[in-house]
Amino acid sequence: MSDQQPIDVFAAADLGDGDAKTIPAKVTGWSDAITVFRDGDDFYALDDTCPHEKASLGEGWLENGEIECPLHQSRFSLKTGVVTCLPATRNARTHRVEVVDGRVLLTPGLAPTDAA
Amino acid sequence: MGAGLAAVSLCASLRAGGYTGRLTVLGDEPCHPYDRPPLSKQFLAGDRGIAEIAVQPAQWYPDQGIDMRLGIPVAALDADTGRVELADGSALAADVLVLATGGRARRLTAPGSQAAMVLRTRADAEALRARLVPGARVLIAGAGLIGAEVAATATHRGCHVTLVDPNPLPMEQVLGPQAARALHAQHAAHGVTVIRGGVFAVEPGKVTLSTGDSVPADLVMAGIGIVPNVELAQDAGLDVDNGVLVDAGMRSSAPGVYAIGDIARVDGSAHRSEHWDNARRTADAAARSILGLPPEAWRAPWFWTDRYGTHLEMTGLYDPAAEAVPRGDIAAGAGSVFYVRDGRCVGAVSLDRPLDIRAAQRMIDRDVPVRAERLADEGTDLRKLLTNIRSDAPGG
Ligand SMILES: Cc1cc2nc3c(=O)[nH]c(=O)nc-3n(C[C@H](O)[C@H](O)[C@H](O)COP(=O)(O)OP(=O)(O)OC[C@H]3O[C@@H](n4cnc5c(N)ncnc54)[C@H](O)[C@@H]3O)c2cc1C
Ligand code: FES
Repeated sequence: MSDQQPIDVFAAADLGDGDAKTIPAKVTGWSDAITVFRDGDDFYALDDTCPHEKASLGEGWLENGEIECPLHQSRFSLKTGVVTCLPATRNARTHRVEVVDGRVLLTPGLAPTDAA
Repeated sequence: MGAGLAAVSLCASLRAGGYTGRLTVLGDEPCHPYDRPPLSKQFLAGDRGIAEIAVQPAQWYPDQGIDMRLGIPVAALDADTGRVELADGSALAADVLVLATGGRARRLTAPGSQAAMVLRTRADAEALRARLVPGARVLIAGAGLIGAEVAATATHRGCHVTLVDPNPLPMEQVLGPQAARALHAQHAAHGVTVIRGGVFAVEPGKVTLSTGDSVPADLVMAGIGIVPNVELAQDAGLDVDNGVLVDAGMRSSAPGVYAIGDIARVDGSAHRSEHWDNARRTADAAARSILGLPPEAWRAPWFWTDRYGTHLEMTGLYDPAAEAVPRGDIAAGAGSVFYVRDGRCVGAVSLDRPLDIRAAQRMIDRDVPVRAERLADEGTDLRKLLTNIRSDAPGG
């Protein structure tokens, strides 16, 4: 993707701690739906489809900075997308999210910054 | 010894734990380790191929420095010396031996039943898939996990399926009656003929049942459980009783010899687990013992099964004496049952509600007090319930 424009997806206050919102592919223009997670005051974004099979990570269980897939419990780091346990062997794709003036801005395809 | 999920998990845990020495995996199947759960599901249906069911990509093994010796069975081991003999006459030795030989499919004993197919290996799945053609008349003996999944996949492939089991409500002892009923009812709803009985004789083109019925069948498949591959352990003089007996750290009765996965039974526990997650955990536990690390806390057992497009999960244990607390409507196809005893969740089963199980696992593992009304109330957010209970609890 060459034109990586941030997309204003929702107000930060609309997403509670430990919750997730999935943004459909037709909104983001990305190849997969993207889920934005909130862990404490931090926001993260991952491709929604689990790299193992077809489950939606947005329906998973968020804990300790990881999202656990609802189907077979592979876990992925929210920060890096790295898979930390089987059965999945591939990492999840991460995207940049920033909170600006209370709005959550998602940039599909761009690596997350750690300066959020 | 044995190149399945347990062996791969052990190698991964040893490397993750800092072990840099040699690792050799001996397997009788000619291929790299693959995941068995899809063999009765997506792989049998033809929706996933060989590469997609690999436990790890082929490059992972050299990357981790694991010497894979595949296609040759282990013939014998000497627990005192650590010497292992292979069926081709070669031998090698190791400081630590781990038995991870899993199980083989149990076979029917009725006359003519040598012709019945079974499903344990990828080769079994390929052979079975070739026979599951539209219109084929398939008789499946056993309505447990594997038999029921094959019934669902065969139906999906356009076969006419008859499912035979002597038990009026298969899986009831494992799942509890509500979930077992909901699951078992799916067969008839999908056009499968369900017969209570056993196989009496298999003849070309038909099967005679213990009920006296004669059922026309182009193919017979037996899904009647597994037999643990304990012969190596037995011959080596290890304590064996429905599995290789081990302690909580997966140590067998012989020093320096461990057993993990489907083959192992923790001494004192009533049954031997034959589930995917158990293979991983027991491998982890053995790795910790080998590396001299303290054992991890006990975690509630967990397994899943998929049939007719629905996903069932179970955690903990079904306890007939526990209160069965419904959440959602499992009979209608989406709901859970929590088993609650003395104010604690001891088990839970769910159909298409995996998050209920994620919550139940944590309730069991953290020993949190629960109230039946709260669990039953669909308005209760279980995740929040758990975090609240944790912060409410005096002293953490
Ligand atoms: C069709 C099917 C579907 C399943 N579905 C599910 C599911 O949905 N959910 C779930 O939780 N679990 C499921 N399971 C169970 C799960 O796959 C097993 O618990 C798991 O594979 C056990 O791993 P293991 O490594 O202990 O044994 P195995 O996977 O059996 O591996 C043992 C290996 O050792 C080899 N071996 C045996 N003897 C020797 C010898 N003498 N020398 C060398 N090698 C030897 C065997 O050939 C095999 O390759 C399923 C199993 C099957 C067969
Ligand atoms: S689909 Fe996510 S772990 Fe299997």
